[in-house]
Amino acid sequence: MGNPAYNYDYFEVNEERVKQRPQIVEKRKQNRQLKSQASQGAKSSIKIMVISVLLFAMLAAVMYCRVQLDEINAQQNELKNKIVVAQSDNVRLSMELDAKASVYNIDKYAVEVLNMYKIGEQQINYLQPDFEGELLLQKSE
Amino acid sequence: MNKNVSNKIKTNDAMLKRVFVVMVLIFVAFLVCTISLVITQLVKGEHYKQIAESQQLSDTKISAQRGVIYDRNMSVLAQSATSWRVYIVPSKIKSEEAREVVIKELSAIVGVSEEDVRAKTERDSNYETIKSKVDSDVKAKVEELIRSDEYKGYGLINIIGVSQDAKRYYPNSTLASTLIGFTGTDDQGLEGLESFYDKYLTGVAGRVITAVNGVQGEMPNSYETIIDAQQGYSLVLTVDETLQYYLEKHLEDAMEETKSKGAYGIMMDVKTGAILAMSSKPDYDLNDPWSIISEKTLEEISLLNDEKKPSAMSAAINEQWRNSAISDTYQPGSVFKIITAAAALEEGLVGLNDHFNCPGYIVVANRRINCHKLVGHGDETFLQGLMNSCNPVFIDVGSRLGVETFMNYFDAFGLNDRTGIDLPGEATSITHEKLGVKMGISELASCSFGQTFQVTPIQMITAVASVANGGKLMQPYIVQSVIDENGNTVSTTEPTVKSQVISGETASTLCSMLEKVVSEGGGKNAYVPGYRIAGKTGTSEKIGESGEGEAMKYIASFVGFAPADDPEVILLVVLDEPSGYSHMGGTIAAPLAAEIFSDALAYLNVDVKYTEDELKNLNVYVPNVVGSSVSSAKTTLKNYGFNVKVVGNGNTVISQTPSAYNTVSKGGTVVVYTDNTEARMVEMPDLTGYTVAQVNRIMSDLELNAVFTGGGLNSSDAVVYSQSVAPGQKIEIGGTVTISFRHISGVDDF
Repeated sequence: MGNPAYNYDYFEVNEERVKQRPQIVEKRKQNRQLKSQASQGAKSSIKIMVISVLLFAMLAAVMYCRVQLDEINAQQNELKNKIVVAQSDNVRLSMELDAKASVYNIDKYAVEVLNMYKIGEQQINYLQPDFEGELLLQKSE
Repeated sequence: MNKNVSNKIKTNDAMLKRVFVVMVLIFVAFLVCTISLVITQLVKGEHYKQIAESQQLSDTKISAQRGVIYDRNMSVLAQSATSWRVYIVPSKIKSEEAREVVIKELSAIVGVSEEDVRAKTERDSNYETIKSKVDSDVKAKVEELIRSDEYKGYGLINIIGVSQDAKRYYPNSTLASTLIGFTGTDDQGLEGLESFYDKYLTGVAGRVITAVNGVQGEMPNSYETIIDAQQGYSLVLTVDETLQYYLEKHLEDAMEETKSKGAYGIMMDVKTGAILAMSSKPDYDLNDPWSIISEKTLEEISLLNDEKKPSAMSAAINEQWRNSAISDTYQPGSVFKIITAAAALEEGLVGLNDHFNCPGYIVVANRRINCHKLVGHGDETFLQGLMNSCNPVFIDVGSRLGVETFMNYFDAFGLNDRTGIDLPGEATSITHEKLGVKMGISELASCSFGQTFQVTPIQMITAVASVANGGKLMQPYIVQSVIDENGNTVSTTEPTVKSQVISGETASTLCSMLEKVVSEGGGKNAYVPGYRIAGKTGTSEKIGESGEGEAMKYIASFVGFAPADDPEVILLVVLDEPSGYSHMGGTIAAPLAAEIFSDALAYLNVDVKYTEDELKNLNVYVPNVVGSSVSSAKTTLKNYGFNVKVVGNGNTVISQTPSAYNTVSKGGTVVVYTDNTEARMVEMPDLTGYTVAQVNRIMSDLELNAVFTGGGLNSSDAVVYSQSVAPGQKIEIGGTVTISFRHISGVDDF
């Protein structure tokens, strides 16, 4: 078998591994690269900040809209309730008015308070003018 | 080299095995998840959905508003509006101080006794109604109490609540109460039309479905789903509010005057069967149906001992809700002679001029039946027999018909069955046949003049209306149409002819006969100048209803229609157990009908045609002479046929009594004042029982004016039965008193 340490069969031969020669980068180029890397980093930070701000603003806007919507809905509900109350009062007061102006009350008031009498049929004269035009009544003295 | 490969293969195998195991495990886990999902979603899905919905959704019912009830002219008779219910949650009361606050404040606001509120706070429940159907002002006060800073620490917001309710309003209180009915605490119809048409009047409740969060607070409205409530349909009745008022007013006056237990009346359109008015007295206030308003009833109950009072109250309340016009039967008495006459004429068994003899009684199957005129009417024609309401004549006519023919006509006139009117609780007739009693000649004899069987008032008026309607039996009805909340018609009731009972010729002949009954016969107290009224009076005994030692009880009635030559409206009035000066239909029911007809026919603009005699007795109106000189005023008034009395020393008339345009009898006195001299007052005498001539003399002596109403103004046997100014009351000279007359002889019918 031999010493496995020296049995190269056990070694994987990565034929694909390429020895990398250390690259010699000029200092100027390195500085430029660093600067561009730095500026790129700054730009991306700004981008991130702007996007964050925008997102935050959108979120705030959405929340604000929801709050507004809730407030408007609450106002709507309150107005609806007021309408219901007003309608109920309207019916109640209409009924009270109808009760006061009922046939019974009118008859009683006319006879007992105003001393009125029902007009007899013989007191009504029906006129049938055979002309077209206006009929002027003189005021009684 | 081979070892490396085999090792490699072993490594790979091991890896594969591990991967396989992991795959199996993942697969098993996935399978378990899938099975759980299937069970959760499909098998128990519905169950969990319901649980979730019950936790996450709030479902609130929106009550539908009940439909409106209108009269034929669209006047509101009944309408609903939103009201509120004040409730408490006793389980949330954590301290005695809170309880006392709730009791004291709530009872003051809603008007419920502190004891009642206390009792409810002590119950072990989550909901107790303190008061329902409160108005918006009470609701506002309760909400103010809940929000008040003064009681902040007591948690009133968790204890007291207000929820929506519905309240029914009836603006005319007692008008048509037994007809309309009322609603209960849950807005359901309990009596009358409210009950019969409950399914039309009740709308469809809506719903508000809202999502709720973990603490049961409602989520924003974007999660809300609203299903609108659908308002109930409304009813347009055939009843006229004004005609109903006239009917009720006069029924009440007659009931009081005749000291009757009850009074009911029906007014119907002859041609269509539409009910124009229907009333049953005593009745109740629709806005407070659980209270008794009849003072007479309250007085009777107060006389009972404490043990009997609660049951008596309960019985009285149920009695006042009862519509006697359709639910109670009575023996029609001589009114039924119209049916007997119609049957006999239709069969050709009798003619108008056929002669009969009335010795004051008739013997049937060894039983003597008296006529109301014990000395007898003597020789009379069939027409006269009807005018005199002679029992022997109609017993004879009935015997000519025979039992079978008689019962056939009884059935043909709809008297065997319910009319089918759209009201609850309609009764039907009680006859010998229905009681299993064989009808022989003796029973036929008494049935011929309207005794020993019972019909309802609605059956009776419907039958007589067919005589006035050319022989057509109409279906009576009360609801003209059903409309929705936008006024669109949902359904309409068309007049229905049930059958042709008698020929037009027979009907016409009978109409003429019945007009004679009113103009010259026993119904003359129903006579109204200017109108042709046809009708028949009736008086019947309430057999078996009098206790030992008690006087016999009676029912007095009148049925009539007008105008007699082309009938438009028919009226039936019934006075139950009158205990005043008379119980005769001709004496007390006919004048009642005259008063109702006088108002109703004028309202309906039925043509007035006065005869020469009527024109002579017409009341005249007083002209206006205020501002005229004394001499001019005298001339004007004398031209109108008035006597003139001048008070004061001035030259110009500054006031007059009676006032201008008042209607008084011809020959009255007008007092004209020319200065501010105080008017002289006189005491009104009691004119009851005086004739026209006597009244004229008395009124002239007192310098008072009279308006004469009622029948028999040309007759010497008409006497006063009512006056508008009570005896003993002071009245200014020249003042006007309405005096009502009626015949006292020749109007008996029993």
